[in-house]
Amino acid sequence: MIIINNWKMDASRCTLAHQGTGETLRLGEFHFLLLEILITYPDTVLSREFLIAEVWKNRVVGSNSLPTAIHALRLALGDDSKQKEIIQTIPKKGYFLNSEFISYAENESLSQPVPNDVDLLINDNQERTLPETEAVPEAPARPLKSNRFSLRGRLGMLLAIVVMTATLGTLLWSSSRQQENKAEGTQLKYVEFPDVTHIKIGYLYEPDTDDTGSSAIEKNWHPLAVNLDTLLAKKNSSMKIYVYPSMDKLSLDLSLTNHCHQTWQVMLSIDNWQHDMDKLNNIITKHARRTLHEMPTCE
Amino acid sequence: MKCQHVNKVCALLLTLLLAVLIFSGQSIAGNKIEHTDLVHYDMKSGEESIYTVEVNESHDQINALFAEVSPTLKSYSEFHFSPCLKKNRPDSVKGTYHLDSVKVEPSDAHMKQIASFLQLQNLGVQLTELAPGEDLLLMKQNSMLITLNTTDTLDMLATCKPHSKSR
Repeated sequence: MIIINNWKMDASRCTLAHQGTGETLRLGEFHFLLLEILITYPDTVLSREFLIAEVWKNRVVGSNSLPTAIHALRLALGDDSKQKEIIQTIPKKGYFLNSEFISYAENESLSQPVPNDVDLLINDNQERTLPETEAVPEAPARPLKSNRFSLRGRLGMLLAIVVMTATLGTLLWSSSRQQENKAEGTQLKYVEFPDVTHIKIGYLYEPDTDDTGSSAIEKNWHPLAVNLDTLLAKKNSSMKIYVYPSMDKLSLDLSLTNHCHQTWQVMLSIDNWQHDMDKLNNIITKHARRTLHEMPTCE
Repeated sequence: MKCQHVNKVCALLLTLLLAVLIFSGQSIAGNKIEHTDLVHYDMKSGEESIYTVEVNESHDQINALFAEVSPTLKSYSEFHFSPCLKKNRPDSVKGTYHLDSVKVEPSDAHMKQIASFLQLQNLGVQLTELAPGEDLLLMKQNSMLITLNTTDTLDMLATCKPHSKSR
């Protein structure tokens, strides 16, 4: 487990958990990947080109994407003072992560006491070697009746092997399922507001990265959805909205259908969309309103 | 001057309409999308550009036409792709569009940038079926979304032959 400036990284959930306060921060897929890459090469100046290629792969990214992501990471790690000690900028060269802030801890699962049942798996003539740091309470010495296992011991061992095989099988199956899910590509989920009847909202997300985004939409988009719903109700129209957020860009697809079934579409691509949420809502509303206005009137 | 612009827009829309008619001979089962605008907006700089777009999707050819209509009219840009798509879910196909040919107005920096990128790299895409005759296209590299009318089923679209079409 990697700890950086008291923030413990959890790669499976893309989160940082503060060791002192217990606060948990969820990072975006790219933010977390960027942090992982910086940590992989501590004290090494990594060029902007290298970081963009490693993090965003084949995506087209704006010139501000990397500085914005670095800024977000600094904020998350509490490195927002003027000094910028954790992630340092080397002008015209790139960025590096100061290794003094990195520490490593064992996985919590390893530091759990090992149940005594494990004894059953240890051969009489075999010593179990444990890592030096592993804190395992010493099991009380048990006199052995003979060098051979008793019937009970054999049954126990058999049972333990069966349980372990089943657990391993389940883990492998689960892992292969996750791999399959990853291969399935971008997912689509619909978000519903009970008081919004003229709009259908679909949210696109990458598996295992930001599937909680739909709850963020439910929380933040309700006023916008209600405003648009009122506008559409007045025009006797309906709209489908598909949303695909990434770190710097919000992509929307608005399909507006009037009461005589004419459909016009607006593909909205908004850079730096998190800059001002009120302004964002205004832009979406403006283009929905404009399109409704420009659509031909029904004969 | 304004009148000239209007004439140009009319000519342009007529061209687009013809392209639509050529490539969508069959009837569309879902809501037929009659007009598409592409709006690009930067929240920090306040810069906004609006294009009129037509995309025609079939199992062996994709034609995308873009015309910037605001603030000044520019000739339309053409992108012609061949798809290489495979079914990744019952309701979705995924793969790449390979740029076969392109015609971009040199003064249109935004389109020029996209064209340069596509000449180096295939465009990663995913098409998700929304309703009969309607697909949602996600262009993975630049996260753009567009709903398309289609006359082809996903099975018809998923006809990629990697050795012959993909690079």
